[in-house]
Amino acid sequence: MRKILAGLLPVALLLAGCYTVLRHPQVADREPQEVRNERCVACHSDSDLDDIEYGLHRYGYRHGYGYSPWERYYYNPWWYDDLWYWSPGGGGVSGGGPPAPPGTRVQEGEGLRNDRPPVLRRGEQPPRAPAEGKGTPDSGTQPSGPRSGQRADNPSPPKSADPGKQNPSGPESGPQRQQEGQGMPNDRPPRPHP
Amino acid sequence: MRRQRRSSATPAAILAAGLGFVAAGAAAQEDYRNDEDFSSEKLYATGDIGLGARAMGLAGAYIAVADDATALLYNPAGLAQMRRIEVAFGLRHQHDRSTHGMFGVEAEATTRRTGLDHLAFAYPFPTYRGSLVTGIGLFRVRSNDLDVERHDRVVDGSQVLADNLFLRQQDGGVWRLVGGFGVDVAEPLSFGASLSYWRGALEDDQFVSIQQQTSSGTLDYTDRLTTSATLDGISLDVGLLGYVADAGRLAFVIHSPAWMRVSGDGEKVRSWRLASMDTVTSLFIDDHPRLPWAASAGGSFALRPLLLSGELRYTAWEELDVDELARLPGQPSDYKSKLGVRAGVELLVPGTPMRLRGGYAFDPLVYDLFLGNPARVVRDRHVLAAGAGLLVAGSFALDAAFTWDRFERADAGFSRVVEKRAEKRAFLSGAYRF
Repeated sequence: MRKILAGLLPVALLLAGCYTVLRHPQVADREPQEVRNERCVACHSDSDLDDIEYGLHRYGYRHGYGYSPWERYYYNPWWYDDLWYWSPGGGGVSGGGPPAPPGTRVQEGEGLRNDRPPVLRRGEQPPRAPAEGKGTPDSGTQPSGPRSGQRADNPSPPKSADPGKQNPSGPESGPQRQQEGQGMPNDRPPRPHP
Repeated sequence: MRRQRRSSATPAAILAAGLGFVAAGAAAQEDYRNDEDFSSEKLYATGDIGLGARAMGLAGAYIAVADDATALLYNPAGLAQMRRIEVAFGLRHQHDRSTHGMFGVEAEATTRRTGLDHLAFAYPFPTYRGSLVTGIGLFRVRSNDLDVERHDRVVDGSQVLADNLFLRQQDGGVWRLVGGFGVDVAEPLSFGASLSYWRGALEDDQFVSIQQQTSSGTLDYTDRLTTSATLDGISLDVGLLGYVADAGRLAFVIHSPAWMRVSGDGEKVRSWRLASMDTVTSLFIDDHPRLPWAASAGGSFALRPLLLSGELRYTAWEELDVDELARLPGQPSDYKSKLGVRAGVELLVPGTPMRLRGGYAFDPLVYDLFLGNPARVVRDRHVLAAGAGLLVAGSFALDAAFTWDRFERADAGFSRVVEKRAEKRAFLSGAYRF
């Protein structure tokens, strides 16, 4: 018994190093500030994210508890707020942000929180906050729809101009996904613009 | 006190064995082992108390669910499912009632305690891929609180042949401080391990008053035995959790033996009332029991809105190592390794933040002796469980559960020597996720 236990542990840890990754890999051909705090979907397609298992996929009984009040309790990682929704058009859901065309994806979070800090090159200045309009922070979200959109719930991107075809199931299935609440309570406040 | 195994016994001998302790020896100091404390077989033969309201609402069928901080005990691999920081607590009310009947004379032992069940914390590390979650928790795995009162009075006409009183009070419990982690070792597989430090205490106070007419004269004395003991121990749990098609889980857990040490001291005073003489004996306790290893395998499946869970648990009771239980070559163990079964179902009430649960467990009796003699099982232990959970403000899960079981044993040779035990437990747990 002891030998079994003693043998399982190092093997498992070795394997763990092969799969679980704590930090985003450094991207060689990108400027560091481009990677830092950038939203995953800025670089990855949704199918990429599915492959990456971006900490959102699979955890909890998604099929059992999806679209239930327990969803956030179980599935939303505390460190990840790269949530998005399908815009109903006409703006509104993002508060002061510019109106988003119907069927487009609107960001509400600020991406991963545990990204590496930027590695500044010699003489390089610290990065500035992202410009407004590239993923509107959720500080001004307002209730409107039946529930919040979340990438983990709907990993498929819109394949056509009709977003209603993208999410045929669930109470929010319809031509547009809408924001219900005010985003995750643990969202960071909007970064002040310099 | 040395436990003896006999193939046959007289009713008088069985009554004597039930007295609680035997006559004091002439020695001023002796090794002592309390058959009711955490070093004894009776500790382990009373089954798992269980922890956590959600788990107990499923009758303990939780190794393939284990998605909260109590995974530290049930299946540390389950920690890897957690995505939010959790602070959890639990309360438990335990009411166990044993009735011992010996040739028409009955005694009752009760354990009634309400207190902390667990405190736990789990922290998921931010990950780019996979999962790494650590946790620490304090779990009360046993309550040693016990109150026993028995009064035997035998009257023949106007003559009192026997007027005996037995009182016993125990206070204390056993805790496990558990630290562990869960990590994804592959996309469909999590691994977890936890290390437990056991710590317990027991204060035992026994009093016996004997006034009895025998053929050789009159017995008239009192015994008072007090002991104070502490327990330290360590054990390790490792688990695997596999993910099957999003909604399914397969789990396997190995619980290592628990290596323990029980130490303490005490005093036994016998007072002969007629002779006005006391005999005082100092006692010391130094035992090194080892709980047996166990292995569990189970699965769960989410069939919206149902969650089904089940598991098998094998415990190698025959490998229980207690100092007092040295056996002769070829002599079978007083314990039998057994396979238990647990199953539970959880229903997510549509449109509400409420979940309802129910479960059943077969937790077989493993100890073959009753008052030192071979016993037979009249009714084995079957556990029924029910519970409910509510999510408050999207972040606070409140769960409650109730379990109930009973069993009955009897002396293999005397059907009028019986033990009936009913166990009721109520659990209340809260978990806040940040």
